[in-house]
Amino acid sequence: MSLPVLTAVTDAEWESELVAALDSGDHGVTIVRRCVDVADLLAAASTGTARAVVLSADLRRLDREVLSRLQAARVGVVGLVEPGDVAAEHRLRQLGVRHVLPSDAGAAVVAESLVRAGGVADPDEPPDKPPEPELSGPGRVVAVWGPTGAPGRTTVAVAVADEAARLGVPTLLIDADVYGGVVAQVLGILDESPGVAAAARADNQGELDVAALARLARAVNPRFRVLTGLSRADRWPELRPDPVRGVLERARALVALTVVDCGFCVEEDEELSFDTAVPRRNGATLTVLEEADIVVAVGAADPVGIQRLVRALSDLADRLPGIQPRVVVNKLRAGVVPGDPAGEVAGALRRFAAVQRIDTLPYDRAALDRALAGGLTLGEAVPSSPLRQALTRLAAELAGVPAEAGPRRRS
Amino acid sequence: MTGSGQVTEAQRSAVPTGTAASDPRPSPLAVRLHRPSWLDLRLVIGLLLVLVSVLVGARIVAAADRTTPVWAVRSELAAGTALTRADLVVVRMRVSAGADRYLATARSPAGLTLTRDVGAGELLPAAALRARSDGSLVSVPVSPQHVPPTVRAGQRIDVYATTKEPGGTLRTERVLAGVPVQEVRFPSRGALSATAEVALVVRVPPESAVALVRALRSAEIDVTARSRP
Ligand SMILES: Nc1ncnc2c1ncn2[C@@H]1O[C@H](COP(=O)(O)OP(=O)(O)OP(=O)(O)O)[C@@H](O)[C@H]1O
Ligand SMILES: [Mg+2]
Repeated sequence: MSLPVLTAVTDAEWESELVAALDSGDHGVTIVRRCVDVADLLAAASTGTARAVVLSADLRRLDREVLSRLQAARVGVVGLVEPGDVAAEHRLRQLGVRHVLPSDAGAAVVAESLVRAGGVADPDEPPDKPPEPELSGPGRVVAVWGPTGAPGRTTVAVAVADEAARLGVPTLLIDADVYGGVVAQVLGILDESPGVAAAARADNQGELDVAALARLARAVNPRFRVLTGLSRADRWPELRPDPVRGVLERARALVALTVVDCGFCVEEDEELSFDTAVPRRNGATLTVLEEADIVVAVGAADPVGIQRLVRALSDLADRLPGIQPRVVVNKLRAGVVPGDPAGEVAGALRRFAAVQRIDTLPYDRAALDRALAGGLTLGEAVPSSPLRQALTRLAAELAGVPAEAGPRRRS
Repeated sequence: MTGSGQVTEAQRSAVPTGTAASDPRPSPLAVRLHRPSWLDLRLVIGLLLVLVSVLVGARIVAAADRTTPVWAVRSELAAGTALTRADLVVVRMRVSAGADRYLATARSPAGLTLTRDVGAGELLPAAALRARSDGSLVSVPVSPQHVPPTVRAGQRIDVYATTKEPGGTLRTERVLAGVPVQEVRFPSRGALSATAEVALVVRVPPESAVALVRALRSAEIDVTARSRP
């Protein structure tokens, strides 16, 4: 049986030659539609009639988004580049196109690749990682997540990243909160840096490599870099799942530890989820949680905070069953929880969420106020505060390095 | 991979912990509200405040000390006394309008002559000095019994001459009235140069010098010291 394929080739003259050659010989492929642009291609792919497409690297608006929709429609992709155009080939591979051919390859070779691409296209299988070592690395990703109600995700993420850097681990802090990031404000960063939205855009264009990621980040100190967040909450559509995955991959190659400040929500908009083309606000959060090596779930140590944490943990278990988050209970203080607050909180989480082990962070308004007022980290502003010391121990464990005895002032 | 709270040994060793010093892919430095360092803005402002107040304080104190050194006399001196350095002391005086009525210490007035009496400790008025002294200096020898032992330079004295008339009656005449003593020479007790008499040097107008010298030659001399009027 002949494989139904699409073409989306920009050079019209060469396209007709290719179409003629594929049609005439017995190459095992049948051209069902010759698409003129990306919109045409996606429309044709969504009908489910084609199994593979041959497209030019310079097709307008070709990005990761388009490729993931082709993948979702089970359409395999063969990319064509001008002979010798290394940059275009690099870009296609970075976007996840596995089969890249020079445009003078000849109809037989193109047809053979189409058959292979059409055969393995499977949305459950992640796109092949290109073999280039620059695109991913051994770095660890820690996602800092938690329920709504401001339990202190940003506080924990910033402090963990800062303390890990002080312990000697090159660290990148990514503000991926789709409800509006404030990491830049917390750190007192004044310049408008392009941040995570620009990194995601570059990845969507297939233009994000490790050096580009480094340029988009800002260095608080040589070991502590920051990728600032969305400047406005309504720009959340800029953080799509696939580009976020790409950013995390480059981050693994850039630094040993990547700390991500996530949004709080994990539920999916059910009515919309059948339509894969509609962007989902929590997609980025889910992607980060999926990709992370360690998920830290931050909750607040009061009755409301514990209730929300229990619900959030059960939502997370529904959505992403493989994840065993590390539970951190923040703002622990006497008064709001009767008796021994740490014991009570641990007991409640054991009973209602089957959490065996928790870490606690003390309530320390004064220390945080001093840090926030100056746009400083806890380590910079109040190095001897108990909250900072608890966060240093947490950071050491998350980064997998021994905590040093005694506070260090400068890294 | 999906996350796990437990960190395996494989993961531990997988994390490279290099230093950023040799980072081939540096990120631009973030511009931050505060670059935490010892050169904190508040510290700098504090140091400036301290410095400025020290300087301002020093200036105020210096400005408050607007005193000028002027000459004063050590002890009471009569008009006509020629000043010597020993008669003079320096005192500091707060400047006000008219400070130039007194004699600044840039030049010493030693050698000048007083034109009027100046009390002990009084400032030396510029107007009370005369450059040259006219008249003749005459030494009045007097036996110590006939002069008050407290007499000193700058004091006014009267000189009386007592002669025996041929009839045996005594006649006393005042030959000098109210002249200032320029110098007192007490009898020296040197073994070879002993003089029994006190010599008082006075300055007199040349026309009265004749009468004085005659009286010194012919009469018994008494000196009385005047106290300040
Ligand atoms: N241990 C603590 N002691 C006292 N206050 C705390 C502590 N941790 C966090 N806070 C305060 O709680 C507030 C919320 O913290 P933070 O912004 O980190 O929460 P968040 O979970 O990131 O919130 P959001 O939902 O807005 O992203 C902040 O004012 C922060 O200073
Ligand atoms: Mg936050």
